[in-house]
Amino acid sequence: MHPPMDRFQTVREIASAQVRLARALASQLRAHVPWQQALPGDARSGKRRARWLNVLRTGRARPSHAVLADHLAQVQRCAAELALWADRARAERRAAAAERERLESEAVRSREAEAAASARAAEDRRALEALHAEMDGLPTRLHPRYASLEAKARAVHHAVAAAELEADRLSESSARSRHAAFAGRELEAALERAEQTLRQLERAAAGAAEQVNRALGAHAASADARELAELLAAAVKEADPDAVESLAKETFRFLSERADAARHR
Amino acid sequence: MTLHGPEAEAYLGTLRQLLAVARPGAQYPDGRGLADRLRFLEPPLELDARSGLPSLRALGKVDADRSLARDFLDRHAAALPEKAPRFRDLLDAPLEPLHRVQVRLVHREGGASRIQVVRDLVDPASGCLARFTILALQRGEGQVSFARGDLSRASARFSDAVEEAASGDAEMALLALAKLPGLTPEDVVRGQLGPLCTARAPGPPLLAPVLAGSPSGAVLHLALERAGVTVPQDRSLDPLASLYRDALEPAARQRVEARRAELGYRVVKERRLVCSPELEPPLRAALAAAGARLVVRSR
Repeated sequence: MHPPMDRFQTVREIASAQVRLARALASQLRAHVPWQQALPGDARSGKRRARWLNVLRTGRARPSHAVLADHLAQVQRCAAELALWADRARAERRAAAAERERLESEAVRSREAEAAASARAAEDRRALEALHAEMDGLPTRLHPRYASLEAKARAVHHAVAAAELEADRLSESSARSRHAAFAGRELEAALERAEQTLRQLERAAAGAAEQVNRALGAHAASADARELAELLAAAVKEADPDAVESLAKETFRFLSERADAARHR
Repeated sequence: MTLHGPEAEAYLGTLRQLLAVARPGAQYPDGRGLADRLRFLEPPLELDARSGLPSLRALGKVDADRSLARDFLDRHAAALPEKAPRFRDLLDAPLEPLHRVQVRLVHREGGASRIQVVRDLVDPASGCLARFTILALQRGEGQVSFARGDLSRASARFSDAVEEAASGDAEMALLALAKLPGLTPEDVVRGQLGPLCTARAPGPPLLAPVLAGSPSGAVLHLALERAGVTVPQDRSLDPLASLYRDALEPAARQRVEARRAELGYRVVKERRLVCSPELEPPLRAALAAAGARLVVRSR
């Protein structure tokens, strides 16, 4: 799977796709209205004419079933693309969750190792203090034991420094992992929000496809054009591109903050 | 009507088998293309209750996915590897569009040209797949123009007119196209795949008792209607359908008859039935008892 910075880029792509598809869906749903208005008045109001009379008027405009079939294809394509992006957002969220869990357990491991290193340093420091006390107890530096105690104390001193360095390193690593895990949580939340929005849009597109399909199936596209237009207009509200855009803006802002923080580090 | 899991698989398997036996010719919608498309239908399977075939929405979903296949493989394949094989197969599959108007020049001499128009669609009235093959004589280039001498290019108005005309019977299509200036339709053939009749949706009453005896059996209809000046006489060899004119009110029929005399065309209708092997004997017997002479095949 992708490293986290790539995942930020993916979230950016998902947010862009979300806005693009919300706009496309709304415009596809609205596109039905001019077509409905272009229908003859009797068709809009639901009156039916004898089919053979209609057929003999060939060439005036595209037949409603052909327009609806195209419309269905467009809305279905939009719904399919939305479903793909929603699946992608879910996959990325799961990967981000796995990554975050790994970071959290890494942070715990680092913290434990840091505690062990600190304990070792403290123990060594106590041993060092005991050595210094023993050295101070000798009458003179020229005492035969002084040199060996001094060498031992130097070695313990180095061990203390190394353990403290290790503890510092592990503490930093633990903090880094905790920060990354925290950012991962935010990323998961952004991806979850994106997935929910995409699923909502997908439902709106699928609902619109259902309406168009039903109109086609009933072979009553002209007669029910007004009703269909109203249903699709309701679907436009459901797929409100402004709401999607503001959600995406929030995501973009979050991503910019994370990118700034990453640069700062 | 929606089928799930193994039931959907079995249904599609039966339809594929019947299509393989039927081997519909060029005047029908592309049977092999349909069989290919069936491979990509995802559960649950939505059926059109009128035709017994997968619904336009189910069939169209395949096109929607196919149009996204390239983009999917470029952008999402690494993150969604379980979906990649389907999109790769979709990209390679030789699928034909469900709806289209194609124009081809057959012959050109002076200012006159003979053109062939093929219109494919999922018939909104029946939910069956239909193909109209229209042979027409054109004077001038008002409807179809020819780039570089022979590359046909239909005007948007002509494509719209074909879409409108070719949505009912072949005879209706011929009558409607004859209204276009500079165009004389000579021959219109309408080939239809479907309905697919089963015990659950047996279709015409003639088939119901036969299908009731075999819950897993199915019958696929292949209907052909031809309206043209070279058809020797009006004949309906299809006991399950009547001629367009026969269904009209007297006043309307009078107008259509007058127009028909002017255009000089006649109409013939026929139907073939392709069924599961176990249905062939009872189906033949039922048709013989009803005096219906239809070609029935199961292998």
